[in-house]
Amino acid sequence: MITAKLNSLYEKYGYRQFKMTKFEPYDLYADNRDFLKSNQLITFTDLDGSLLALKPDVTLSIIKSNLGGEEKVYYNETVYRPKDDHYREILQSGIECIGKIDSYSEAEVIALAAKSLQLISDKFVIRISDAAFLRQMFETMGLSETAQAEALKLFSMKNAAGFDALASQGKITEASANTLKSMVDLYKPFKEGVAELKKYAISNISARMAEHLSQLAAIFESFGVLESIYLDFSLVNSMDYYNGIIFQGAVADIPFTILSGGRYDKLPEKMGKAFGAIGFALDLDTVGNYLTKVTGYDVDYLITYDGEADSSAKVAAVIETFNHAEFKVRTVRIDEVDHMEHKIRARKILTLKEAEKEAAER
Amino acid sequence: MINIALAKGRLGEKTYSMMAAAGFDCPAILEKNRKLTFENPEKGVRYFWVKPSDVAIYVERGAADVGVCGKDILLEYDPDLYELLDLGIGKCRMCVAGPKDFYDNEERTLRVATKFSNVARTYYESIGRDIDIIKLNGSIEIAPLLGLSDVIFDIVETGGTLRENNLEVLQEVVPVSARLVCNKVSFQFKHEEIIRLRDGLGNIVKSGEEVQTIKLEH
Repeated sequence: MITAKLNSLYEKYGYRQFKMTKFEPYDLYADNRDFLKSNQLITFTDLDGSLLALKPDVTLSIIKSNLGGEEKVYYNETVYRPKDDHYREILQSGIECIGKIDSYSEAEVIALAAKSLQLISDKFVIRISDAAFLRQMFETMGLSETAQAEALKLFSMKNAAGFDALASQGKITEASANTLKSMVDLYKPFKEGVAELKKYAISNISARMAEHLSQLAAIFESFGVLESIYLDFSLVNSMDYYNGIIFQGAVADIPFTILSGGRYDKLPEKMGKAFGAIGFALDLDTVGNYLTKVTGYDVDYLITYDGEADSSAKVAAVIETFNHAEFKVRTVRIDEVDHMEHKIRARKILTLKEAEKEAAER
Repeated sequence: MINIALAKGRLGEKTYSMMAAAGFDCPAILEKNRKLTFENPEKGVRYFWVKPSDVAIYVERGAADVGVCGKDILLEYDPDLYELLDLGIGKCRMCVAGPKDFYDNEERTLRVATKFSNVARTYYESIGRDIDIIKLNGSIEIAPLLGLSDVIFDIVETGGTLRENNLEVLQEVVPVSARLVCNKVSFQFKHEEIIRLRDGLGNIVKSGEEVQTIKLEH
């Protein structure tokens, strides 16, 4: 199972498993609405009248439970969120690294994201962007809040032509439009991308950010994951949540992003805790839906026996022989074959006599 | 191999013609047969026809890596995909239209017939007008004539149908043209081919040359 492989990967890097109950006090989510993808929660009243909610997220609980110490945890939990107009139960796996986050911890979390995808498919890509870098650029260019929102939308759609339209509406200058246009187009292997990014660093702060990214590149190289990592500024979602590095991961056989994460220092800050945090979550349901192999058969043998004439002891002996050889066997009375609730698909359908013969040959 | 969704109709024919001119031709598509997909392994492309409003769905869910669809569809459904290029074809405008002598009495809720209920809602919210949306799937122009709605919110190309029915454009909302769209994950794994296609098409758009439209059976 993929979860077991993921768990052992995270444990190899010293991450501890975080377990939690299905629900938390409603207030935890109400107070931190900004950090949830949706305001909709499944709520219910506890016996003492307090309001509870089924967890829509694991990160909030991890940060809440931390008392201020450095910590590395992983989890596999089900979360309850609206999707396509209905509440869904979604299986999530992920890690969080809490404490004083330095370049090493950042790179370690991203490397583990890459290694997680590697367990799912040979062809995978992690894309990295820096939320702070873009924000810094927008502010230096003097973009208004609404223009920033529009620019972000264009980034997320890689819609370079849209910047010309913004410029013609007078929302950004011609020069800014040209800079942003070429940045939208930037999709390069991480090291190359960062080298190119340096020419977009239009202030001291953004130059330092670019420098930080090139430090990360060196650490990725040591982790052996550099070649699957790309720099891509079209990755902009949840800028309210993330305040620095953001990243997403995809594998070749699944048409959706399955992993997303980033640096989210604002959440612990909001909860009054003085530490940084970075982590990611992996959508295991989507992975399961796309990558579960269809076997084609329910069992290897379907053995029919006559309920009256055949000896039950013989049936038992045959099934034991087959099981011993690691085969899956289903038995059914011959008069019930046509009334089975689920039509069983078997590689071979045998009567008890035929089965005994085949068992004897093994 | 990149999978390309073509919108059935004139837009799809124009799209294919441009892609062929950009070096992504596929002779199989010109043959008369009942095949549903057309491949040219040499050029690394596979084409197929889908309903115009479904192009974005095929691309968003990765059944097609790229496709071409109108900006109107993208505005309405807001699919999660990349919009790589404005092809400058299929040009029209999204407009509010109504009877020639229409007077908007702001005390009443405005009844708006449209196929684009999301775009209409966002537009009227932005100008603070209270409306009642009547979602229709076709023949929008007939709605004000029969008193089903006060105005319509629709795409207008030449305005011919409007004129013949004594309607006129009251307000232009947003210009529309065909866009090259791309699945976000395909963009990462078929990056080189997709960029080659985008740049090939981009050069044609920039040169401003008219590409001869190839008539296709579909």
